[in-house]
Amino acid sequence: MQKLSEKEVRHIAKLAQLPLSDEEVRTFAEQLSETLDYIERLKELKTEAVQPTYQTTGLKNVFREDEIGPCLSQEEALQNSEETYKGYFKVKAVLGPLNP
Amino acid sequence: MKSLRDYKEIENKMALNELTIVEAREGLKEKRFSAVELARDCLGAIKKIDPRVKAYVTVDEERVLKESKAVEKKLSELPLGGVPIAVKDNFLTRGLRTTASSWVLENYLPVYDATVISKLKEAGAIILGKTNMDAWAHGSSTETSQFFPTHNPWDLERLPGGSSGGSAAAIAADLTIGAIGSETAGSIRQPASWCGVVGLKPSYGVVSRYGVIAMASSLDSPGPMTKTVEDSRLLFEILRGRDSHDATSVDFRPLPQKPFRQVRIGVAPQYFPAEMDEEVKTMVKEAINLFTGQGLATKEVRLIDPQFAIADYTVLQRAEVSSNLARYDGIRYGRDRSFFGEEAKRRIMLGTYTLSAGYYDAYYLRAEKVRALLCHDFEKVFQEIDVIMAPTTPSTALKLGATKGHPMFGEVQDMLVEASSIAGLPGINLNCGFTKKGLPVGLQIIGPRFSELLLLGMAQMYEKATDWQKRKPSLN
Repeated sequence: MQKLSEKEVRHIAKLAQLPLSDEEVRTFAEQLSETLDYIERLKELKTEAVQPTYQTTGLKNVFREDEIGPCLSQEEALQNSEETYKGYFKVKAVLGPLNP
Repeated sequence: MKSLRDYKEIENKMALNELTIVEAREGLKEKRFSAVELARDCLGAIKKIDPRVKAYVTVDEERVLKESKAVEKKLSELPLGGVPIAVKDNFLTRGLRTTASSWVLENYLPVYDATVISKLKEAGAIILGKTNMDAWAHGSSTETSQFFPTHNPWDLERLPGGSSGGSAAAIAADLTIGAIGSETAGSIRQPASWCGVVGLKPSYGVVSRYGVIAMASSLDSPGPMTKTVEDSRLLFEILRGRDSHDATSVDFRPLPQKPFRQVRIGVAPQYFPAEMDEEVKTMVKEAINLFTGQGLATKEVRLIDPQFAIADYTVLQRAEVSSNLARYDGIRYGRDRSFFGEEAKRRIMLGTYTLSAGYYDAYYLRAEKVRALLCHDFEKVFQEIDVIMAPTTPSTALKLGATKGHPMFGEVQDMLVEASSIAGLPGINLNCGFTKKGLPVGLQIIGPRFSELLLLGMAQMYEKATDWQKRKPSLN
């Protein structure tokens, strides 16, 4: 039984940008391990010689002409945001001062 | 089919919400009633009965009546002119709140329509309201909606199934004329089965996903949920087709038709697992016998054990979900990620893990290979037979609360539909009777890609020979 450690769970949560409480980390460690166990049975199938597929339509390289068509106005695009500033979305600062 | 006398009775009772799409169109064209009257009856039924069923998340009465009035003059030219359609709340409807039954999007007001919605509107349909679902479509019960669970009209203490539970319940309870749902693996067929309605999952790519809140991009398939097979066909014809906004969409090229008597039916013992409900097993077998009674040949076929499809689907879906839900950062729309429910968090976590460095090969890549195996398995089997018939679900509707403490609940409930979804195949659910407890039992017919017309034809044949759809839940 492969068990996820709480450290691993915290790492995944960071990758997924999910804020988790300590309680949630504990619960998920158990539940996710349960699910992973279930998935283990996929090993019973012979897949060495199989080509993987991620789609069922057989489509390839679907392009269109590089022509501008109708699209959302800036106002519409900003409409559902709580924090905007002069036509921009406001986000947390990514870059900070060199010597904080 | 209702007789003219039944029809008159319905109109006299002013219960126009009980009509099918085809009947509603006839009545509207012959001016026996107006679009506004039809809308009013639907809205009235919702007011009276939905407090107990809770199929709807949003109903904008004023808008519905306004649109119904506006369409009156153009009724005859438009194939769905004046017909109220309930839409699952993961389809973006411009100016009408769309939530995916989640707290993150509780106040989201879309600025564009999904292609499915545009097509419905172009055809003159009235968007009656947005129906409840498992939050983000993560479920097979509608119990994980972050707002409230929907109740099965056949037994209000039971679940309608999911994730298109609201749409299924609305159809079963005559709270709408037609409805739209979506299926990633089971989300149309399973609630259709638990609610006794017709649910068609089209071949992947045949109906555009543009404007549908994404769950698993290689699996999501929007489709109709209706009272009759004829209605299903009508909606399918309107919705299908390649969309320039959806690069994974394809034109519907129906398979060449063969006379029904020559259709070969495949029955796989793997799809009648030992642990499934005996009554369901018996009733589905009886339903299949109806076809053999009409002269069709059945053949036993072998399919890969559905247990593998469950595991495969779990990986594929959660991986794609973790990617698709990354966009909800609370910056451009919606609330931040702390508002995700437990189920969403669980799925995002598992998906992230299976895609992360060091684990991708063991999980996701392996799952893609199994996916190929499942596709080949069906291809092989469809060389000997034309359709597969099986139960849609291993049991009938379960009680509210059944999902608690079972992280794999949905996957197990959907075990008989996952493989066909993974392979991008179409499937239809139809009601094939009621158990002793009065719960609907679903028969599903699965076919190769682009066999929708064959599936609809087979379903219609069954519907004509039986009258399960005359029975209605007692909600008055």
